[in-house]
Amino acid sequence: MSALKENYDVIIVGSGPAGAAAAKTFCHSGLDVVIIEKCPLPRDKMCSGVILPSARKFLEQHYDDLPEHIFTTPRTLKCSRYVRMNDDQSRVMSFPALDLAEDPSDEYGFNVSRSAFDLWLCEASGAALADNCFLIDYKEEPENITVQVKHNGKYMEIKAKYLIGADGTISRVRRTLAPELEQSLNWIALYEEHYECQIDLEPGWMYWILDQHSFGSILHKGKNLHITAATTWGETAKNLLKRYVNFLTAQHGLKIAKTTMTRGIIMNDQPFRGDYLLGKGNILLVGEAAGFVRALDGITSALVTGKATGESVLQSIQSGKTALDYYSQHELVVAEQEICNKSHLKMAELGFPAG
Amino acid sequence: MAYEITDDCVLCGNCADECPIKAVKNEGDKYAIEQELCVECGACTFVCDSGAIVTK
Ligand SMILES: Cc1cc2nc3c(=O)[nH]c(=O)nc-3n(C[C@H](O)[C@H](O)[C@H](O)COP(=O)(O)OP(=O)(O)OC[C@H]3O[C@@H](n4cnc5c(N)ncnc54)[C@H](O)[C@@H]3O)c2cc1C
Repeated sequence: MSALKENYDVIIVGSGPAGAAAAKTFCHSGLDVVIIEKCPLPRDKMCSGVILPSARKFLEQHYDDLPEHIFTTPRTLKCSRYVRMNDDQSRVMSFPALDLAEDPSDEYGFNVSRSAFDLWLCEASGAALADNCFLIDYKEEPENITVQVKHNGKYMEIKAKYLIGADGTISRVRRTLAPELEQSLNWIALYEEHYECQIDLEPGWMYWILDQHSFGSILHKGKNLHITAATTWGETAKNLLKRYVNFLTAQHGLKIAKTTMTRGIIMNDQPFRGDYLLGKGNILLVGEAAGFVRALDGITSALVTGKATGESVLQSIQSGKTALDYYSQHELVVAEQEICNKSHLKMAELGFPAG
Repeated sequence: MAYEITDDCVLCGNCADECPIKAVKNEGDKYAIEQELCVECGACTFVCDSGAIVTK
């Protein structure tokens, strides 16, 4: 991956879909753009890796066809279904659509590997990529933003005119910009395991487990079944996952031959509160760092707002006004706030406790 | 991919500050990860300069 230079027009922090979509808008601009990523690339993000219909349509409009190597099996997901822990017959019920932001539809989604998908998106942007590059902090100066990073273990400073925080839920760009917001966030722990196993749930659907204070997901991916547990209450995510496994063993014939992976992630409640933070001056937040996560469909929010940040920076360069002036008025951003709010209400109506 | 903190810990506390769910505790001679609470997100590993956070 690229060595770092001292100066850039734009530094994008984070190689997820938000950072990649922002970078793509600079493709033919002649600007010097780098995506910095704290992990080695390709990096995996804990995610079901379902490209929902809205994201699929965005990609069809703005990108070449998705390459074969990013898909897992089954390749498409028909829709979503759910089981309730408190239903003693444990019936498998249908949700009206995969995409909660849209009206009921039978639109399908894609089942992909996030590490391959995200790297493909970044490469499609044509931006320089620097991995093992952790943003520590930054300072605004009259002419520049000075960014402190740890790159391959070495502390360095790099400068840019614009800084885009696409650094996800634990966003250091957001933390420095709004310490009060950071203090107010509540954190949600998620844990998942992948199994070689048998289960009586048919592949090709996204399954949700709904419990009184928690929810989880079950998804066939390649040879494995992924079971994920998200908890907001006193129970630990690890314990919750054990309860899901016991429930599925008793009710849905789950027989685990081998556990192939365990991992977890943390999210915060900014998206559920609709407390979006767009940035300040020429420092913009995008995707999950800004609080944009449509219910069960964070990839669409990341792509859409990523495009909007990039376009806003380009307009700012032409006019001399700040990037935030454009970003806060951008039609995609204004619409995305409404769509996210609506999708979280819908999620609550459908019985997801975290909504 | 469970993590643990080795004797290389220099008690700087960066890891505990970074952990959003407070799963890292000061045990006097070093910091330690509460395994039941930790979900292995890895956030602490990026702020440890002494290489003390390792996968088990
Ligand atoms: C369990 C789970 C399942 C999900 N399933 C789906 C799904 O099936 N479909 C869907 O659409 N959405 C899903 N989501 C939501 C989706 O994963 C996120 O909303 C989406 O990844 C957000 O994209 P992003 O680009 O904003 O951030 P991310 O994808 O999180 O990318 C942020 C990047 O920034 C890097 N980074 C962070 N801090 C720094 C730093 N200081 N310096 C340098 N780099 C840094 C990170 O390593 C990461 O690569 C799921 C979420 C979870 C938790």
